[in-house]
Amino acid sequence: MGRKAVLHIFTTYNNVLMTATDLTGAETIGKVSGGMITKKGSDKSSQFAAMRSAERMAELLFEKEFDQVIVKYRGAGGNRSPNAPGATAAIRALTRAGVQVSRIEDVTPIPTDGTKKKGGRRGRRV
Amino acid sequence: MESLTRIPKERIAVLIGKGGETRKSIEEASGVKLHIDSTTGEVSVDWPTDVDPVLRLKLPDIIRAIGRGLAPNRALRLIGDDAFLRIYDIREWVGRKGNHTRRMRSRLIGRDGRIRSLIESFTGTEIAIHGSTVVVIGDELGLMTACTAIEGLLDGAEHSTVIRGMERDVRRRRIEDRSLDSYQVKDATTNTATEFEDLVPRLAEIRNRRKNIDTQELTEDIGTTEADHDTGAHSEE
Repeated sequence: MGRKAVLHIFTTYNNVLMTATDLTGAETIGKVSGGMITKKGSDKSSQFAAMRSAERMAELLFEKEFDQVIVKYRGAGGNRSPNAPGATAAIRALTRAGVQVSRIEDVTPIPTDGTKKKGGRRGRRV
Repeated sequence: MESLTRIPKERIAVLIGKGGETRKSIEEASGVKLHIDSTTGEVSVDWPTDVDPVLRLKLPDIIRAIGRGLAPNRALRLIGDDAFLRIYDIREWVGRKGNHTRRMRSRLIGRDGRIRSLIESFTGTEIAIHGSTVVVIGDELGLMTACTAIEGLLDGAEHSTVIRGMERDVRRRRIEDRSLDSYQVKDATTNTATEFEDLVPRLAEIRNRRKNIDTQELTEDIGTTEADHDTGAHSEE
């Protein structure tokens, strides 16, 4: 026991993706997504889905005898919105499930001047 | 000691408060020790040994919100589990000209803060408009409604349109809340078990046993007759 994994959490407004890897990041241990939890598409990105998928991820990690994680969370980033709700809910659920979170990093891609934001001059028209 | 963020000079005084009052209240609420460099605005923090990881994520947000013009007692709402922060930069919409950001700022605030307080009361959020940034704090749904309203205003929509849209959103959500459970759907059967396997009892078990037998056959050729007998029995089932 006592092995460490890296948990990548990618939250967008449409989904939550979690991938656990080993410390090098090259070997995937397991992955869970919001779509595996909920049936309704619009619920995939909800906090509830994030919580449930974190619980499932914790189970998966325990199964493979990992009990410590380094969390790296990110949003869509770039010229899109950097943060979507879900990451905090997921981390909270992880700690509640008994996984030890040793470090949290925000790895959202930050643009250092990139392309124009989607939507055009007059914004998104619905 | 770990450095968190930098806040603008004019907000240092607010973050510290009269005689360190505000700083103390933040420290009490979160259980950490804050260090504020009052010349540069650098804020760093001493974490206790058993720190809640969610707090590590939230504390920079709280400091940043205060730095961007939100009153500290309102920013402390972020410590709660269901509050999130969103920061807008007006310059992303109207460019760097001071006059334009000023116009947008006044559009968002409205006369005597009417528009801002309307958005706040409808969606249950906290909004601060300071310089060229807009800070919004609220729960998931409220934040979403407030953000569409703010984005609409920044895009140049009329006030009446935005407020009507917001009212409609809030009303619809209220009806939804009343009528049905929020999350009615989730996968009951968790992972590998497919629907077909549910129909046939003990199918997975039998399949497993058969797999074991196959591997046995590969490793040792002697026990074949018995294994054959076994598989035959199962196919009858």
